[in-house]
Amino acid sequence: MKNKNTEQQLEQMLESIAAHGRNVRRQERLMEQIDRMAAAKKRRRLWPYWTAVAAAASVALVLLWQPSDQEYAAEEGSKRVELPDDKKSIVPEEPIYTASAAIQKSIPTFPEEIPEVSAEETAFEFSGHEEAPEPVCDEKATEQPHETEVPHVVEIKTNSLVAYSNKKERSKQKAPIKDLLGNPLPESNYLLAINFKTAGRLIQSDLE
Amino acid sequence: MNNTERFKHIILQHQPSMQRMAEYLLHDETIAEDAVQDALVDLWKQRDDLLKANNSEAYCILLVKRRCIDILRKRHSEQPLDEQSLIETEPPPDDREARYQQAMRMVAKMPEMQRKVILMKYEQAKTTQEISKELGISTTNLYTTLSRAISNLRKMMSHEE
Repeated sequence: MKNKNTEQQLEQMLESIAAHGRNVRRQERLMEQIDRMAAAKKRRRLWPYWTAVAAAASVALVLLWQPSDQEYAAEEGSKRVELPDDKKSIVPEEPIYTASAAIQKSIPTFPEEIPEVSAEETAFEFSGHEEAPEPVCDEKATEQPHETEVPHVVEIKTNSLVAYSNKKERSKQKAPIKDLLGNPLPESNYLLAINFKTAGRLIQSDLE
Repeated sequence: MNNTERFKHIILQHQPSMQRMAEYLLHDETIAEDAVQDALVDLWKQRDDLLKANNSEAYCILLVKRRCIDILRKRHSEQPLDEQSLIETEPPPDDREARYQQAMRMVAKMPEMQRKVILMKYEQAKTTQEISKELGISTTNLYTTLSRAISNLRKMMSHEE
């Protein structure tokens, strides 16, 4: 009995040593959990600032990588086809795909000599009725297009009319250059799209 | 000392009684440990109240009891629980701490190798391979040393009686 009692006490003593060790490890885990919760609380407090910093950094990166207007124009200009020398004086040398470049560049003027239209061609009787006069057709405009390259677009002094000449259309239909209202214009009058982006697309589509 | 350090100090102080209460209610050491950890999360959320409380031990024990009642409710979903009596219950005094102190007095009197083997085997819960590798002895030598250490403890207990 004494031995049994001793054995029982010995077993309880060894178990108390083991239990103490388990409790020490348990406390270590609890302390780690408290550290994690404290760190999470600190992160939650700071996340609006980190979000703002990340957003600002993203915007800065995008702005740094975005090419400038000049770089973009130079890249697009390399795709342009060279026009003959006699037409280069009319068409701006630099590509005008960007509004800033177009504004900076001086706009070419109309040729000094404008073909005169005879009085018979332009005369019409105003009947007093409120009818729109028929458009005057210039004979020269109906002639076959020159074999030499005609610029597709030219600048117009007034901004009221925007038109372009499509080489394919003109050769197909043999029609004169017309404005958006359908009025034919002398061939010596060249029009340039005021909307420079549109001009870029038009020129690009014509050249392709 | 900031609030986190104060919170840690309170938890360290009352964790043994929290664990003992959970083990008494749940009769399972592992599940009791889970209940104490869950109660810790509750205490963290209410740390401002805990730091201001007059009796922080009672505050901690109460939250542990609530967690234990939740576990018991799920375990015995078909039987109604007397939650009020569970809240009021107190565990019997635990003499494990007294026995541990007595064991440490005896272990301190052992030869160094026997002392190391007893502590690494029981307190640190290391395996035989880990102990023999750390001490640089063979497993056969380890078993022999352990056997001698336990015999030594038995003799000391007999002499104390």
